[in-house]
Amino acid sequence: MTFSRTKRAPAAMPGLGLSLGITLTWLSLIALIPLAALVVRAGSLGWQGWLNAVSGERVWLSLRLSFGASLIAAALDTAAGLLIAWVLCRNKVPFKAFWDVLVDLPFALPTAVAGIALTALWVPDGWLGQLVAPFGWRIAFAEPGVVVALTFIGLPFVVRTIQPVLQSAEKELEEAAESLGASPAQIIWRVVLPSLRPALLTGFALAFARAVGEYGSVIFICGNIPMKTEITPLLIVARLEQYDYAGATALATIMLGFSALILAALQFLQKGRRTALR
Amino acid sequence: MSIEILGISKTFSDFKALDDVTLTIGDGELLALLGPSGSGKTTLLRVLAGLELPDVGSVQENGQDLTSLGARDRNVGLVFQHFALFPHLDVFENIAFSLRVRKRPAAEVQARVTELLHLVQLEGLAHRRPAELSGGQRQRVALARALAARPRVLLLDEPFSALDAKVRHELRGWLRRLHEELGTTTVFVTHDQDEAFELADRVAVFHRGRIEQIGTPDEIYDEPKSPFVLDFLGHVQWLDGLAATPIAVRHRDVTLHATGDAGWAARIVRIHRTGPRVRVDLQLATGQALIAALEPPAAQALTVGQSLRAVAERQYAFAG
Repeated sequence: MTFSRTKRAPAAMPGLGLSLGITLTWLSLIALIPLAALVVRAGSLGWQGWLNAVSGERVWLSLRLSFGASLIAAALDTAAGLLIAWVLCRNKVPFKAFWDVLVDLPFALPTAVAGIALTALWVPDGWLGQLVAPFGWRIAFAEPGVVVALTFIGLPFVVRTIQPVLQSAEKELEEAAESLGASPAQIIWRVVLPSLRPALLTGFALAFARAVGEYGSVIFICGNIPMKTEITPLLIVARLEQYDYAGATALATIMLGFSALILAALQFLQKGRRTALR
Repeated sequence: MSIEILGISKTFSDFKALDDVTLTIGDGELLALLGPSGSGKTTLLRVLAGLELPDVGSVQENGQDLTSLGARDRNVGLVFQHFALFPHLDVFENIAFSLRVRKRPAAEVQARVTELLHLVQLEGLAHRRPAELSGGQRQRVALARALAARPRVLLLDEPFSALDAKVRHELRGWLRRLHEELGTTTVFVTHDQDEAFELADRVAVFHRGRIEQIGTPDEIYDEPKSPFVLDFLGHVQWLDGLAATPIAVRHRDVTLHATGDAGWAARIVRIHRTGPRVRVDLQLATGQALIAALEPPAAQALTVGQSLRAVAERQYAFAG
């Protein structure tokens, strides 16, 4: 008896087909299909209807506020997050475990609670609001309030992305730089920050993505003044309340498009540099 | 320029890493700090680099006190066990680092880095990232980087221990030639006695934070001053009960004779080949075990179970 078997080329990873299948199915169910439904629903308006739904000064201003405030908040988070991660990793802080837990709090807090607390702090006669009121600065019920809320909810993303990288960073690299004659500032700029660059970009992207989608905390602090402090998610909810589902999805597609564009740009920034240096 | 280390002690919480170490490093010397891990050799290297401040004692160079001078201002070239190359910079920029932070003109940087790339034979790899290099190549980059600013002293911490045996041997010979060519005073830390003996002009053997013995490889090998040094160099057998104090015999100092009454009566227990020599396990008539490492021709006629005389051509005993 002879056996003849056609030899199949062995897969690079055992069970690749199965695991890829499960991954793609899962990803489709929770992300791709809902997003596609969104686009299809918006498409029911037709090109002209879609254009009408997403144009108008009110929509434009809300998009500018949403994305502008999110970018500012993500930038603030990146700077503050780096500092916090650094101190938690490198310095001897009393009650370190306590501060460490505190970093995650914005994750756990219902965003509405965060919004109410922040509003109470930043109204002109609130604890913090009264400090800036003499300079004529308004935080709550104004654009800066949006930034404050978005910064609050985005911070943990940056800290938690940078912390493990900092922890695993070789102390030797800094010692090598020191023995080669680098000043403390040069060590930070030439050695530490470049090695944190990918983590900083990822943290920024996560904080930004979270900020763009945020609704609960912002609507309490910004006062929702039409044409001034309305974020796009608020307009979407407003349309939903008027049963204008197609109009709401039209706005959502715009947000989706912008977000995808910015996240893709960040990806490119991370990858492009690496290949450019080859 | 000679460097003097005077009475240095350093304690980490309750661990005494260095205990009153005094040592003079001659100008242009290649000195090995040899010892087991935790013996203080790396701590001394870090004190020399300015990365560690001693509790007591001083480091002086031609009479000038360097003790409180930080690593940044010492102008020493430091090479780490795991290379510590900057991963985001290519080979060229890694080597150029010390010149860039000193804001040297671009033309000078270009010339110096090119010279060093030639010296470490990595001309073609200037624009590779460290991750794209082999271990031996990385260590050569680390060396070139350490040499770029023309340091007064070159300090190497276990420079070859992360490399595989073949590359390690190549780099040792290469480092020796490099040292002869440049004449830079060099101190390197190692736990490998072969490496220390092969490379160094002088070897300082460390034990429990102290220098147990210092001298040329010949002095250390032929006249070990303490049981620890003898043991650390290895291939030695201690024999109790044959004399008033324990005596030590190196494997290679044992000769075997079929006749005569010199030495001790012994029986062959086992014979096996270990690299260039043949190892013969013996049992003395008085019960002790002894090992002889023979040249293969001398072992040819031997058989297991054979009785003969074992003679120690040289033996060591330490008073106290």
